[in-house]
Amino acid sequence: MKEIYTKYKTAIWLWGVVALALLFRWFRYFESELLERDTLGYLQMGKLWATEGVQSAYSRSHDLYYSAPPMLPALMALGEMTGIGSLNVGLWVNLLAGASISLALYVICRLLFEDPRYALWAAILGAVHPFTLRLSALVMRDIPYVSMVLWAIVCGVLAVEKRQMRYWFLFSLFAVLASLFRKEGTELILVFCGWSCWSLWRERAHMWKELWYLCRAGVIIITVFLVCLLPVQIYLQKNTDCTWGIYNQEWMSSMYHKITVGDFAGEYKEKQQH
Amino acid sequence: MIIIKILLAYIGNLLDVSFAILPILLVAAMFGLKSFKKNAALQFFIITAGVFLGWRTLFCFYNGGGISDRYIMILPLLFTVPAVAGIPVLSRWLVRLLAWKNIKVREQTVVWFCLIVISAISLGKALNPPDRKPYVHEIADYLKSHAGDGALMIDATADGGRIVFMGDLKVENRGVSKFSRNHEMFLKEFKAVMADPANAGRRIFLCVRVSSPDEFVTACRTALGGFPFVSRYSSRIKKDTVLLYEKIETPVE
Repeated sequence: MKEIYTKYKTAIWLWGVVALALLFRWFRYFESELLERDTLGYLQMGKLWATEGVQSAYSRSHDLYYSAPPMLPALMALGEMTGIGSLNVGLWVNLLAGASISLALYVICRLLFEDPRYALWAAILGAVHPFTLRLSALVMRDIPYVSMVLWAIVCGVLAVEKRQMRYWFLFSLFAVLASLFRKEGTELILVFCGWSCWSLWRERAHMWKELWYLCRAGVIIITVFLVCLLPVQIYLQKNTDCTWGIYNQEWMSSMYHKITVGDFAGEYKEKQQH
Repeated sequence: MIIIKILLAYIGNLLDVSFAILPILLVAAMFGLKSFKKNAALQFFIITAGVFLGWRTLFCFYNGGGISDRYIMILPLLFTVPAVAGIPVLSRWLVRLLAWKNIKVREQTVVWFCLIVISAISLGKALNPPDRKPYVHEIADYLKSHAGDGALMIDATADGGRIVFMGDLKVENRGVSKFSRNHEMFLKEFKAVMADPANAGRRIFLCVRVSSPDEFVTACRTALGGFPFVSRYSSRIKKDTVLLYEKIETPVE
């Protein structure tokens, strides 16, 4: 018994922490007697999607949910169709995504620190982080998004360390999943752009070799991202009232205007007056 | 000046989401930088954290200071990674402090002590039960037994969706602005719903949360020239009262 513990000590501790993370989140779920308002919106969307199709899910839901990315309502609709129940599916997606945050933090820290114990401590901190723990027990899009982002970072860290294209492929896949939960998942493309600039400057002695490597990685990432997301966006925008998209033209132009004019104060003053 | 105010509000939000322990660990981690591997993975991670922090800061300015806690919650999780380096530093300081008092403890023991303390505080905060709203269940029960299918509930509490869900009601829920937040907006929206010919002949319920029910009724009478509603349920929540009114044909003074 002692031999087995010594051999698998880290794995036992790590999976113990993940199991505890799941248990705490489960416990928190039973503490809350009411569902969040957003949860009710997603439940309605999931049920409408399952019974009347995606058009009804977007057109008959509240205005607030027109811009909701399709992943969570789709999963909840699947739960409704299979008889598992939309609320159960939504809850389990959140609980598992929340518990997997500890695992993702463990892998990141394992690659970043000399001492492997640090990774386990990070997993513990991730498991008990109050705000994350509370949010994991709700049926919302935020925790699955955060979890997918962290797993994309895991793949990114592995990709730059091992210099293998398959990790960039996985990085892109997780970025797609993150974008399907919240459109901010697109930020991961910015992360790759930032890394490319830094990497080119760092390897300026072998710039062409590095450029070739980054171009290959970039092509993989952009292709996976667009191939997976564009058809979904085009279908939803053509056939439903959904306004979700990987690129928000209106928001970007407004942001550009604010940056160039430097007018950040207007909105603040309006809010204060309100 | 406004930019500083926005920035301070943003930092305040960030500290709220992070929970007090994380900033302390981050400060301690500044003294434990040697524990990091100096590799490409670390550089990638720093760039990632920089992009996420920068983008959210930009969004905060774009939004005029208001930013949801849920939107920035990825940042504390990213900062957990460098914060871990602060745990052994804090433990080392504690060991030295105890040694000064002639108490000898192994550093590893202190590390686990720190982790247990952090976990206990965090769990205490996380598992603190949320606010109870018994009126949601009670109003749902009342409507289930008294309101028939097709009734209309004008909801000014923002809990209408929950009431309908909890009671599994076949009642239409129409949300309007809260009275306590903006009287004029509430009265305008309320008036519009009441004047809608589609609602004529329907059973209409009104659910509000107000600090003074008398002030609310007076404001409605003045604005609408009468308040043809009768109270069916009321409950005190902190300093407010939650009320359920039902429309009647003959106004009661």
